[in-house]
Amino acid sequence: MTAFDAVAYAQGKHILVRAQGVKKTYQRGAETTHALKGIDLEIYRGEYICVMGPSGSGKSTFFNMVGGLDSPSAGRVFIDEVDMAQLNAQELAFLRCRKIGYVFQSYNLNSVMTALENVTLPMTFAGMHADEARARGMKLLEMVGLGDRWNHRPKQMSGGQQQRTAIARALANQPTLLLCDEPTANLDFASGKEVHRILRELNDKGVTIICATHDHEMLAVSSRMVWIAGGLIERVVVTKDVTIEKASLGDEDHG
Amino acid sequence: MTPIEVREQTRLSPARILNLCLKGIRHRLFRSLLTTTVIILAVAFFMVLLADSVIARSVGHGVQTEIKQARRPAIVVDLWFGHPSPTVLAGRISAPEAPLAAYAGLAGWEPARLGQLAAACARERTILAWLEDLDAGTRSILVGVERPDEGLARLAQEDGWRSFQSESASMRALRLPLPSEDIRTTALAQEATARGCDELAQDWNRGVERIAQALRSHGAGADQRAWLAWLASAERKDLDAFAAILAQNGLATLFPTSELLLLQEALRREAHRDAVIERLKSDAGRAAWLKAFASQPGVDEKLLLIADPRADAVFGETIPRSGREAVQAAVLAERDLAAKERSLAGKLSDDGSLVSVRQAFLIGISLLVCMVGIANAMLMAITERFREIATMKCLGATDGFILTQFLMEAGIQGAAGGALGMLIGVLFSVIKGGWLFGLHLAWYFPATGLLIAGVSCIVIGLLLATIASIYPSWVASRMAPMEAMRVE
Repeated sequence: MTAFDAVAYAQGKHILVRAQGVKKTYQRGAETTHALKGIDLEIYRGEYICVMGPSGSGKSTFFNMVGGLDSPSAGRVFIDEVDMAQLNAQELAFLRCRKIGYVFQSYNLNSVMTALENVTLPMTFAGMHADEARARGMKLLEMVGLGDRWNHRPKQMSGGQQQRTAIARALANQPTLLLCDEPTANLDFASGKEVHRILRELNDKGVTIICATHDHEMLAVSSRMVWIAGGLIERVVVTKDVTIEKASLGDEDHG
Repeated sequence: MTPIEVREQTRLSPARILNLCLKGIRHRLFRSLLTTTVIILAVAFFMVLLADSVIARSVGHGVQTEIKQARRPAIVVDLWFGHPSPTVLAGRISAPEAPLAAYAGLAGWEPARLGQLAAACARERTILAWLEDLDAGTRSILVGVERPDEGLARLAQEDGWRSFQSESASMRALRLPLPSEDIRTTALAQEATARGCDELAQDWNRGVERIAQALRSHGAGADQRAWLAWLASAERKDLDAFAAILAQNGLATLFPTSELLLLQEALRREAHRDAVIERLKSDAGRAAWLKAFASQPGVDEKLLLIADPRADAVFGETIPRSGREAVQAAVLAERDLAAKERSLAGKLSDDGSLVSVRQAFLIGISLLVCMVGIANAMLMAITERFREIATMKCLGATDGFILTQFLMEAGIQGAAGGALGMLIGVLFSVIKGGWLFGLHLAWYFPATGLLIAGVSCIVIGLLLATIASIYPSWVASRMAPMEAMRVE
C-alpha cells in the first residue's frame, strides 16, 4: 500500500463518478445530524473501490449518494459528468436500471420468484423481450455458477448462492458501475471468498465496483480503499493501481 | 469508450405488469390474509343482503303468480256468470282498470254508450266520496242534509243547489272535487245514470242467462249434448276442441282466446260442484252421512266430504268417484293456496325495491368500514414489503410501475376475495331461503338473478380493494429506493 497522490493517480484515467463538496444533514425534530460534512472524491472507470469506516461514519450515506439513491443537501454528484440532481424520476429509474447494478447485504431477492425470474426482473424493467431475457439470465446464472439452480426460490438456496444470484441480477442490464453494500457481511468464509472471486473477475472485465465493506479480505482484491470517519474522508489508500489500458471498458458483453 | 447516456425509463405495458403480478399472487393472497379476510367478509355480507332480496322477490313473484293463476277461474266465473246488481255494476265499470269492451260485448251495449255511463258513474262516485269525507256539520251547511247518500239528490233540487253555491263560495278553504258546473250536471243526471246502470244490469243478466242456458241446457240438440259430453271429460289442453264447440254454439265471439283455457277449467269445476250440490239436495235418504255433511259449516267443507267412502252409498253411480275426487282435490288445492299465501305473506316484504333504504344504509356503512379496514391492512402489508419495493426501485422500477402493480395486486385480491365471499354469501342465503320457503325455492330458483348479483359482488370486491388501496399504493410508489440498503 502506498500513500495516495491524487494528481499522479488521476493521470490517464477517466472519471466515472465525481463527488463535489457533498454534504448531508438530517433533521429529526429539533436535532440536526450532519451525516456528511463535505466529501470530494473522484472514482475512475475500471476501479475497484472499498469504502470503509466505522458504523455511523456516513459511509452508507455517501454510498447512497453515489448510487443515485439519495440526494445531497449540498454539493453535487456527477456520474460520467451527468449531474444527478438534474435528473427527473424517470431518468433516475433509467440510470438505476441500466447503468448501475446494486448488490445488497441481505440479498433482497424477491422471495416468490425463482432465481431466473429474479435475474430477469431488471431486464423486464428495461423492456427486454422475455425469451431474450431468459437466455441472458441463464447465461448470467451460469457465470456465477448457479446454472443448475435457476428454478430454485431464494428459500431453497444458501446465503452464498442467494448473494451470487443477486450479483447476477445486478449485472442484468450490463451496468457500468456495480455498487455493493457489505456483500459478504452475512456470508460464511467460503461463500465470502467465492463472492470476492466473482467481483474480482467482473472488475477484470472492466466493471467499476464500489463496495462498502468491513471485510478486510476485500482489500486484497480491490484497487483503492477510501476510509470515511465522522462524515469526512479520512484517508485514501491505493492497494493496486489500475491503469486505463488494463481495463477493457464495460460496454461489451461481460456475461 | 462510450459515455453514459441517460434517457427516460421504458414504460411497461399493463399486460407485462399484470404478468409480473400474477407470478407471486398465490403467495400474496395468503401473505395478506387479513386484507383478503376483510374483503371476503364484506362481500359475503353484501351478497347475503343482495341474494336474500333476489330470492325473496323471485319466490314471492312466483308464488303470487301461481296463486293469481289458480284464482283466475274463480274470477272469470264471477265475471261471466255472476248476476251483478246495478250498484255493483256501476262500481265495476267506473273502476279505472274496467274491461269496458268485454262488458259491452257481454251485455250487447254500444261501447260508446257504456263509456259515457262509466264516466258518469265515476263522477258520481267522486262526489259521493267527497261528501262522505266531509264532516257532518259542514255537509249539513253545504247541502242541507246530514247523510252523504242524500247529498247528490239534494244538489239536483233548485234550492239545494242555490244554498250549495252560496255556502261553497263563502267557505274559502273548501276544495270541490270537480268544477261546480260538473257537479250540477252530475247531480241532475243522477237519475239517468241510475237508470242506465239498471238497464245495463238487465242486459247483462239477460246475456249471462243466454250463455249459461246455452252452455248448460240438457238435451237441447246434438251439438249441446256433444259439448256436455266433452265438458265432463275435458282435457285442459284441448283448447281447439273447446273453441270449436263454442263456435258451433255461436258463442265464439264472446270469449277472448286467452281466457278460454281458464274458462274451460272453471266450467269443469263448476259443473262438478253444481252436480254435487244438486244431488245432495235431492237425495236425503242416507241419514248418517248427510248428518255429518250437514254439520259442516261451509260449502267447501261439505264438498270435501263427497270423496269419503261412505258417500259412495249416497251418490252411487250418479257421480263417479273420480269426479268427486276431482272436486275434493280442487277444494283442497284452493285451500292450500290460501294457506301458502298466508304463510308467505309474513316472509316476503314486497315493497318493490331490490334493497330497502335501511339495507342500503347498512351496505354503505359496511363498505365504508371495509374500505378503511382494507386500506389499513394494505398499509401494514406495504410496510412489511418496503424492502421489496425499494429493491425494485433500485432495479429500475418507476413510481408508476409500483403504483400500477400494487393497484393490480389489490384488484386481483379483491376479485378473488370477492368471489370467495360471494360463494359464502350465496350458500348462506340459499340455505336460509330453503329453510324459509322450502321447495318453493327450488321451483322459483332465481338462477339469473343470483348470477347477476354474484358477478356484481366480484366487481364490487375488485373496486372496493382497488379504491381502498389507492392511498397505500401511492405511499408505496413514493418509497425511497435507499430503504433497500437498510438492514433490520
